[in-house]
Amino acid sequence: MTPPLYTLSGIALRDLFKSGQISAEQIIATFLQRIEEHDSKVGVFTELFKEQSLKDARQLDAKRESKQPLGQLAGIPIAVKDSIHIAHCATTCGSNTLRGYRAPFDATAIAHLRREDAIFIGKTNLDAFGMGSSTEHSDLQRTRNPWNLRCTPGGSSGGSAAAVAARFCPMALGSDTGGSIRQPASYCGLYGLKPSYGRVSRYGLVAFASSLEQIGPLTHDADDLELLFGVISRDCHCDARYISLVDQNEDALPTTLKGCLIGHCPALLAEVADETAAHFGENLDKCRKAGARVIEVDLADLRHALATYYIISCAEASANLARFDGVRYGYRFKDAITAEQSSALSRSEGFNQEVKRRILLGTYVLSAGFKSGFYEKAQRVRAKITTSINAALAHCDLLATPTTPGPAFELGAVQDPLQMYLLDNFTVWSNLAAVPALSLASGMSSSGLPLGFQLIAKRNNDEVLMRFASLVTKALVPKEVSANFAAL
Amino acid sequence: MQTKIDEKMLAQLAKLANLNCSTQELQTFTADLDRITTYFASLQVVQTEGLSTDEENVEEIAPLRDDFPTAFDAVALLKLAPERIGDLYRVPPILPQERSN
Repeated sequence: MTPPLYTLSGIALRDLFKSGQISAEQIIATFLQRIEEHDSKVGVFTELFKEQSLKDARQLDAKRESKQPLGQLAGIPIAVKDSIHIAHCATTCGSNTLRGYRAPFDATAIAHLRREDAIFIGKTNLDAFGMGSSTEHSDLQRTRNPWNLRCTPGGSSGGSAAAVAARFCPMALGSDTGGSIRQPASYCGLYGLKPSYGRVSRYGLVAFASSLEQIGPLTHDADDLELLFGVISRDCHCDARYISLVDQNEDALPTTLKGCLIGHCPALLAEVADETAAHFGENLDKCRKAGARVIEVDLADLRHALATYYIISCAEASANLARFDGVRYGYRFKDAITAEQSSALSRSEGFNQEVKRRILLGTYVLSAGFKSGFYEKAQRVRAKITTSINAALAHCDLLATPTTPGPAFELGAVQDPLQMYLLDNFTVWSNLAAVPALSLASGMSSSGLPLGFQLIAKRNNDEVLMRFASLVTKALVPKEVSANFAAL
Repeated sequence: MQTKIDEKMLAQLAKLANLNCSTQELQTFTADLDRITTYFASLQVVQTEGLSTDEENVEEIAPLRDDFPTAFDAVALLKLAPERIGDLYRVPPILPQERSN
């Protein structure tokens, strides 16, 4: 029996389209129908491009008909986190502040996808400005985990992860400042990559913490991940910190796990749920059986990563969000008398509690009398953490950890902001050190929720990391995750 | 290093951040920030003598590309304006005298 189109990978859909077996319009219509049937339960899309995506599909069908060359992503529907600009479409960033704002240009990543004939199907929900780990801090709507609608999909790219997990599209873009791609990937049984800092242009991504964030892909498998990353990591002349690397030599990429050295730090597992720790240990055993060598590494400095991350990210957020003053962008309080009132009231009414909390934290750690003790101290600790990670990676091909301390939690279960921050314990340090990190779907918990396995590689070795992820996937054999999908 | 955050300090921070906080928000944020900055203060015990700060770290990770002038297409830039008056971007008035004009 032929599987439904919506269960196929992006590459499989593209190949069917390119070979003439299906039309792009058929593909888009299939996914739109699935969205129509189920998104009222999941709450993924902040804007659905129903008519535009069908129009784009018909144009692509005409392009194929006229024998024009087709792009690498031809016919693949892609969802985009609503903090990434698509020209002339709304960019809400999940915040009341930007309701009604329309992007005047394409983000560089979007422009690259367009050139490869991808079809944008919609924008996805997120914690406002990317600040959150559950997508509960969106001002627009609540997004649920397709594996269990009572649970969070993770965050802040929870809408993008839920879109792929619900089979509303095979690929999506998210952004990751401290785990915002990998944590929802783990909670939703997906593959998610946080690229090395600088590998993907940030031009057109609404800024939260500029020294930490990257746009990255969410998919069902490592092959789709590699394809999508290959396109979005192309040149950009607008992001001053974009790193242009020559194409990775295919011959230099790993073909086996035999001899691969994987480092892990048992001390980091102290705060992890028993089942997650046991699952992680089983994953390492399976890697060993596939020929990898697993060694213990000292990453004791990472116990300071979470505080370091939140000091730096809040400081950068307080500066970046100063631009939302009711004049240049978004919401403006109408009845103020003075400019100062207008700005303060626009910000106070537009930002939600979590955004305000982080702006206040950032203001505190940058204020006179505290900057040296908090912000500058955190920068020095960041340098120390980076040195520790690079030293460990000098001896290992990969570092491995669970992606999260446990599986997805129920919506509303974590109310305390500090407890919510602590959930990012395994993900923030790769952002601090600018190294690439990936979460792969490695199995299911006893409660029927996905679990993730995080791999980290040397800076700018993103392609090596994804190839290892493919090999590790074969070793872990997560049939229950790869073959099944959330029953909505 | 850490100073206890009280409502007076929180009000000053809100002013610096250009935010108006309600009485309820002042109470909530004061308690939240006090707990969170106490957690942040755990960094004070880390030995960091001789380690570099912000700019040097970022420059090593992702150096800024060379800055070079490029030609701007004024017509294309004007098309990006959310609102226009002729060849000018229109923005909301911010000075009282402009409001009365």
